[in-house]
Amino acid sequence: MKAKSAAKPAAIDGEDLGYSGFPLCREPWENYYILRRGILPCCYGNPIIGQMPEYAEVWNSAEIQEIRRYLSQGKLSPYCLKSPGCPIVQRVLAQNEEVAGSRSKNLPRGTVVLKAVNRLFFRLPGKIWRAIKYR
Amino acid sequence: MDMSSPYGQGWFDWEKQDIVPFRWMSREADLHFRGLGLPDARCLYIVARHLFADQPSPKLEVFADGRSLGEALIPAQFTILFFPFTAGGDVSITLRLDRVHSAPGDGRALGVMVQEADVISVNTLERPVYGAGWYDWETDGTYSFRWMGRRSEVVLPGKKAQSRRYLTFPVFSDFYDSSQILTLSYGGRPVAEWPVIHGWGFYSCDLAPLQDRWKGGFDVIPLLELRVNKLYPAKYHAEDGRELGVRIGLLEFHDDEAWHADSAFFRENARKNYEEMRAGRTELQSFPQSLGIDLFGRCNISPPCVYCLWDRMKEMEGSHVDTVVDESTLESYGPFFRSARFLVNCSFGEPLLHPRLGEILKVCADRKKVVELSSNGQAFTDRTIKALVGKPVNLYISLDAATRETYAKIRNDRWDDIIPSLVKLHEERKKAGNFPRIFLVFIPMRVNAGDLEEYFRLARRIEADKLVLRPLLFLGKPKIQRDRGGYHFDYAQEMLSREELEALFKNADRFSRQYGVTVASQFDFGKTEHPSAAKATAP
Repeated sequence: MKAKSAAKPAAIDGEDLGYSGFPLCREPWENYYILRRGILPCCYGNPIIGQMPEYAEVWNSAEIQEIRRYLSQGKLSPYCLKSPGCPIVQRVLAQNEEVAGSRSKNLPRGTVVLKAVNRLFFRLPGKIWRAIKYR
Repeated sequence: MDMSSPYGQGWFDWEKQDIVPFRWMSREADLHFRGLGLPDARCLYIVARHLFADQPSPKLEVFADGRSLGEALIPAQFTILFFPFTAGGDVSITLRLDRVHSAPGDGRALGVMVQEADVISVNTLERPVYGAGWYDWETDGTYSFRWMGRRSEVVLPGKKAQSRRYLTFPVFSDFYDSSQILTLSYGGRPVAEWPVIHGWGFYSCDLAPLQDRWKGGFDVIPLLELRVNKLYPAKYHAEDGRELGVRIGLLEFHDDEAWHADSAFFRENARKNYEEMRAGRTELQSFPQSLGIDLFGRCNISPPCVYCLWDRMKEMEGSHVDTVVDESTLESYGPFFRSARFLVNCSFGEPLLHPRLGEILKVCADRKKVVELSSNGQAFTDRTIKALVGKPVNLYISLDAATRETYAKIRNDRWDDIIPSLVKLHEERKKAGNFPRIFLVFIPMRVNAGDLEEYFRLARRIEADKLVLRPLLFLGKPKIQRDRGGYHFDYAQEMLSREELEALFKNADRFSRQYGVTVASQFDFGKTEHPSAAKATAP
């Protein structure tokens, strides 16, 4: 007689603890910075999104809502992209570059030319293109 | 007959398990308590365990002068069991078990092992007495706490419970979604039902309903019963076989109505904030759980530290450069202050220089908030040490160097003053529950790359709670160059490459094990620790 298969190990994905469905970054929900230099939505934030006395209005301003919208969709907001010091931004951009790098091995000839042009102009066209894309 | 010993018929002689004395009781045993005084609220407590192999727990019934005080199942570990009653004078207690057993080679009919049995007067208790359902005291680096299982009970000191209106204590849940519910019954009445938020949060319970009954006589025992609707799933603490519910910190009484209201607001806000975040809401009804504040805008290091963006920041501060931020400013933030469990100081300035540091930290401590301060370590005086000691403060001390020479290249020549004052702070905090927590910060750069191991030694010497690796802020290609301590500091050149950082992290791992110092890496900012990585226990 065939032995019964071992019980399936319990999933430890955190789903049963409510550990799921988080945005790309939780800062603009959970944290807020009321500083002399201005209001910031996160600790790596740059630039300021309001002056110190405006903290109550800025908490739900159009600018911070846009940041939350992007992050809840799993994307970096244009504001985030202005904060290259943020480790999350660095990680996401590094991942994007890796993905782009692996794709480039099979790129058609036209794309190879574009990449060469990009390098020729100190990668400035690429930066402008990415800024427009993420906006 | 020994009049001071309550043990009557039905007990075998005292024995020892390891070094712990106990005596076996047979199927039925008596206890006699003489001269208890006037009738009063009392509690019989019995510390007992069973040794029945592979059988359900035996049931114990308790009677006082023939009147039933209740029954309880005896667990397999020594546990305090409570049986409240009201009585005075002489009282005879009868204990009756539903079964006995015999050990091989031992002809005795053995019931359960009893370490201690006594009657306490709840009015004279100074501290809570923990009963069934608790594990031993532990600490997780934030608070001292006891894990409770699905149900636990504790007898509160009667006089304090009568004279103070509220009971407060910190609770930690491992559930992110507040689906773990903690229910409290006091004196037999339900008094609170709390969805518990993730992490540590303070809760406050109104004892007034029972206090009204106290006025009527002695019929109520201040027995607090705690229950959770579900346990922390065992798969997340597989190495720990215990049945774990929530962590409960020290119980304290208070009369602060404002704090009681704040705790309810805080709890409800945290739950709402989590739900709004998960739902992807952009316009929030909730408020942040952590508030960045700017306590003090002046610094005692001039010229500023070599990597500090001082001039640019002071320019940005503009007309607010001298704005006063103190405890009344924080309270004026209203719901932004009340909702915060952490207050993180982000000032470009040395916060310990604030003339009202003591008052600020006291208000925050009274409101059960953890304050995070980053200090350059050059402002430890009797005044600032007194303000810090015993307060729930996470103190990040940025030295970035482990030698006088490296320190001079980054800051100035005050290295020799810093270490003795750090040692003094540590000596003082040891007398006050190890608060503030001390986190030694190290920003890896080219200038200090050789100091890492010595920095671990320093962290061990002052028993720092953690050594924090913090990234040098990436600024693209900054033109920040300074000459200090015979060293030319070029910001752009000081950034370590990814490969260099990875090598440094490996060394940090090795030193962490070698010197027994915990490392926290802020390079991992934004990565939420997965529940499977959480440590359930540190007994």
